[in-house]
This record gives sequence, C-alpha cells and structure tokens, in this order.
Amino acid sequence: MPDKMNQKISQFIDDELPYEEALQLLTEVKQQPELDAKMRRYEMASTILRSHQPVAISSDFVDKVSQVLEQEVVYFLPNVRQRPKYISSALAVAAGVAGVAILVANNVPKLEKTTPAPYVVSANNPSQTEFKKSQEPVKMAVRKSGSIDPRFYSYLEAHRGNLYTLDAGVQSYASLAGYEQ
Amino acid sequence: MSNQQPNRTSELLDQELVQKVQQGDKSAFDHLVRKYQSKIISLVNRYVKDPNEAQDVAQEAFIKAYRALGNFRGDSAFYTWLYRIAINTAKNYLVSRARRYSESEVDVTEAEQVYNAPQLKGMDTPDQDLQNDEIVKAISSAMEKLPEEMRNAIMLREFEGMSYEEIAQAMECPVGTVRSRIFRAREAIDKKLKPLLDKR
Repeated sequence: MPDKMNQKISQFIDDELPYEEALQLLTEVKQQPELDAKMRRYEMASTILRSHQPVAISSDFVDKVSQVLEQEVVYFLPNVRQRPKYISSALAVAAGVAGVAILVANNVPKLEKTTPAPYVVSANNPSQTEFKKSQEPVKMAVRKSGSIDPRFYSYLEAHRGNLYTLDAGVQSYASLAGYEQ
Repeated sequence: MSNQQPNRTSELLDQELVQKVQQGDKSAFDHLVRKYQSKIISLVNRYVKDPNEAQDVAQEAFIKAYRALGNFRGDSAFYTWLYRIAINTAKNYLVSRARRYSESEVDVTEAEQVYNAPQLKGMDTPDQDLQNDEIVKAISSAMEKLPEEMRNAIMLREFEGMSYEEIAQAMECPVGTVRSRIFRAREAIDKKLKPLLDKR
C-alpha cells in the first residue's frame, strides 16, 4: 500500500486535506478495504490518544447503513442554494428595468403611428395623398399580424372598412373577400 | 481551537456531499458516514457504553440524518447538525431502554439521569476490558518510543488540537515536515495496533 495514500488518510482525519483530494480519497477508501481498515485504525489511535478509551468500529458499519438506505425512497428535491440578498435585489431591479423597457418599446411607437390615421382617413374629402397615408397603419397591422391573436386580427380586418374607409366609397377587404369579389 | 470541530475545508467537502445526497446520490452519503463514523460512535459511546449497542445507535442516527437531510439547509455545519441528531438518538435510546427495564413512563429529559444510572455503565465484558487495556498500553508504549520531534508533533495535534500550520510555527519547521512527522508517528502506532485488532 503506497505511503502516499496513507499520508493522505492521516491528513484527512486531521481535516488538513484539500476537499477535492478528500473526495477522491473517500472514493478510493470505499473501493479498497485495506485503506478503509487503515483509516479506522488511525481514527481509533487518535481517539485513544485523546480519551484513553478505545472505540471499536466494525468493518461493515458503513455497509450496514448503506444497506438500510438502499430500501429508502429518494424523495429529496434538488437543493436550491439561497442567493445572497444583494444578488436577489440586483436581479429584481434588472427585471423591473427590463419590464419597463418592454412596455415602452411595445406601446409608445404604436400610439405614435396608429392614432393619427383614423383622423386623417375619416375626413369628408380625402385626397389621394391622404388616402395613401391612411394605408400605413393597415400595412403595419398586416406586417405585425403574426404577433396578434388570429381571431382578433380577423375582427379588425372585418371592421376596418368602417374605421378607415368611412365615406370614401371603398369596400372593406373583409366584404370583398367574404363575397369572393 | 478544537480537533472535534471540522475546519473550513472539511465543511466545503460536507457541503458538496450533502448537495449530492439531496440530489439523489445515495453513495455520497456513504462518504459522510465513513467520514464521521468514528466521531459519532465515540459520541454515542459516552451515553451508550455497550460497544455493539453504541454502533447500532450510531447507525440509527445516520439513518435519521439521511431521512432529515431534505430539510437541511446548511444554516449550521453538517457535523453540528449530525452531532445533535446523534445525541438525541442516544438519549431516546436510553429512555426507551429504561422503559423496557422498568416498564414505567420516563420523560425524554430524564435521559441524562438514565445515563448516570450505574447499571447502564461499564457494559464491557471482562474480556473486552482486557483487550481495551492491552490496546491502550500498546499505543502508550508506541508513543513513548517515538522520536521526540514526532511525538511532539502528534501530541500538539491530538492533545492540543492545533492545525498543521500552528504546529509548524510552534516547532519552527515547514508545514510539510509537520505533515510527515504526524504521518510517521501514526504509522509507528499502527504497527503496534494492527496485530492486536487482528486478534479480535
């Protein structure tokens, strides 16, 4: 048995072995009964030196516990490590800023582009130029239709004649499509 | 400063092992049992004198710890938490054993009194006592025969609970030398101890 491993056991029982090496050592001790026996003897000597009272540890102590636990149902949830409070606060602020940014990005441009259109188109004598302007919101709606609920979009299409072509002498797209004209 | 309390390195290892167990890796719990079996059996042995019963109680303590590990959130060190479970398990064991003997109601808080009852102490058989004496003498003899620097190093470690770094400062030598001296002292003791344990 190499001295190197025994020295690691000695360091381990003194809590002087770095934890990565300690984990590796425990795996090797589990696989090699000689190392396991060595560890138990070192620990026994250590206990006797401190208390003058030998403490017997049967060689199958770990196995006995392990056998009982074999029957146990694993019910643990993945361990969720608690984040430090400052990280949680930073995440909350970041989420808030992101939320506000999304709201601004979605609402402000729509208001600017869509609200003027009905006023322009609903004029009693719309010129050609004005009518072309009035198409812009419709085109935008068509471009963005993928992001709108289809039923809602259909409703808008069916009623856009009322909104956009009032008194303009133009039939709505829905009416034309509905009668296959 | 105490060698009963695991240091920071040990706690990091425990945290990793506990996390693995909480994620369903039962084999990681074997490592924790192996790491703390000696300390927990020694602890239980202070309450339950019979070595076989002490091992059974220690085993029960580990099983209880496993079952409760889902609720362990690391507010205290794992060993501190395990230590409390072991003490409670040992006390409960003594209470239930006292009930069996007396068939009378005993409160959990009476465990200490039960522990102090003379009939529950000194459960070792004469043969076991003899073997234990033999082991203690062999280790004392091995210690006396150690070269002075080795004996000093292991005494500072075992009796004073000093870290390798502290021993190195006290003995004015590198940490590596301390590590080596303690290891060689343990090997010398082990040469005397192994034949006695093999006879058992």
